[in-house]
Amino acid sequence: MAPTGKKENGSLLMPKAGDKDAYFIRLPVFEGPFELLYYLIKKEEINIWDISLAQITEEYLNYLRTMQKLSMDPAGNFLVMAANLLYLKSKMLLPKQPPQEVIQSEEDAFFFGSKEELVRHLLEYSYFKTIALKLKQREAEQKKIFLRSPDQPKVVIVHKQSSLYPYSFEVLVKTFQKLQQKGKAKREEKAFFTFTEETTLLDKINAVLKSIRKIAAKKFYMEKLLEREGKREMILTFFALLELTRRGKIYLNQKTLFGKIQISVPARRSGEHQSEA
Amino acid sequence: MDRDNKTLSTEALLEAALFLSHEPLSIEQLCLVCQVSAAEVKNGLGRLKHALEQEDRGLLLLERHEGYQLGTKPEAAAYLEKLFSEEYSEAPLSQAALETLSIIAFKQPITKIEIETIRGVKVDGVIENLLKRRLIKVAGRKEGIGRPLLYATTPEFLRYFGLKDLSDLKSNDEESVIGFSGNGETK
Repeated sequence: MAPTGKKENGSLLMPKAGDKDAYFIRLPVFEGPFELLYYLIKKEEINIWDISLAQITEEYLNYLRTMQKLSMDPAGNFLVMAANLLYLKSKMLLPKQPPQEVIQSEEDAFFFGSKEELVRHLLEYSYFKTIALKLKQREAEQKKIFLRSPDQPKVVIVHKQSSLYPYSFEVLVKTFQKLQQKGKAKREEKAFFTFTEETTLLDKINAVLKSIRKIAAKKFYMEKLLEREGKREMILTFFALLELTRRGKIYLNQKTLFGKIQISVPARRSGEHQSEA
Repeated sequence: MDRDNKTLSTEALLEAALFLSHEPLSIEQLCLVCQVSAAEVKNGLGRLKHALEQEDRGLLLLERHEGYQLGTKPEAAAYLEKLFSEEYSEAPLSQAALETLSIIAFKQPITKIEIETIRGVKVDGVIENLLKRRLIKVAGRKEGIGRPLLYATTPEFLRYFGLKDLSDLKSNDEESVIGFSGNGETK
């Protein structure tokens, strides 16, 4: 069954060199019927159009038999191809019939009604084989070309970085001090109320109320009130706001979840009524 | 930037810019650097490429889809590996993956069934792998029964294989191939 004999180099079975026993058999593994056919044709080194269907069918079946001998189950599509080849072969043996029997079953993509169709397909397949080979070569080539890694930090242009040099340490210290003072002044002017450490909640309530009344016309946000305050002050302000809300002196309104909290003063009349009630 | 000290040639400036960049640079970007016309940049690139081809140079000029880039010569790889080991080295693509990619590259957009018809085998696993490696992408659906997904190659595909565009891949003996249709041009 093994195609030894007349064609030594053409044999699919490649016994290991120097080994008489056929225990070591390397059977090329083909992924699909086309790959096998392609291999068989290429081996012949003939034009794909000149292939002998009989010969190729013979070799194809030999391969399948060898597979079975090695208890490998050929996949279904290999068998479909075998059937297809036999069909084509038998068709050629039969006297030419009027070309009425074109059984083109659309659903079976792997069925070829004529040798020409099969060859055409094999040619297309072989074209992509060559492209795949090209890609393989390029892949290997590219793996040998190293580029600068793209995820490295942006290039720092040293020349631009050195622009700090004309400034001495003294300049930096002075600049820092100036900034500090500026910040302090800002803090003082921005803060709505200043307190000593002894500020009581009552003081805070009054202070808050005063500052709110002052800008009642405008939209006033709680964040603004807490701005630039120390931790103690912040807590006191927060309590003051809670207390004022409870007494109905101010309204707190938050439009969206985690949104800004708007403080508003209720209209005088109604506000007082409510607080008295 | 002004080029008051015009002591450097265009190709020298190109070399400097390409050395500095971690990404391919386009002709426009190189024009900006060199302050010359696109035509002159192209000429400069040609001279730089030629100069780098000499044996005493370790770099080479790569023409990429996105532009130009410097890389180390393949011959240097074995030496460079001693110091710069590749951190991530993806396994080379399988034969099945390469064949499937070739088909997609030339016939895109193409459905899985169409690929399977050409290859004569199922390609589900291969497609999965190629999608994962971002070498192909889903490029819509084909009109008709089942509206199967269409696949096309990505810019990463060109990058991976160091191609400028798909025409780089075309086989010289194309005319001998029957059944090949379409020029496979993307976009």
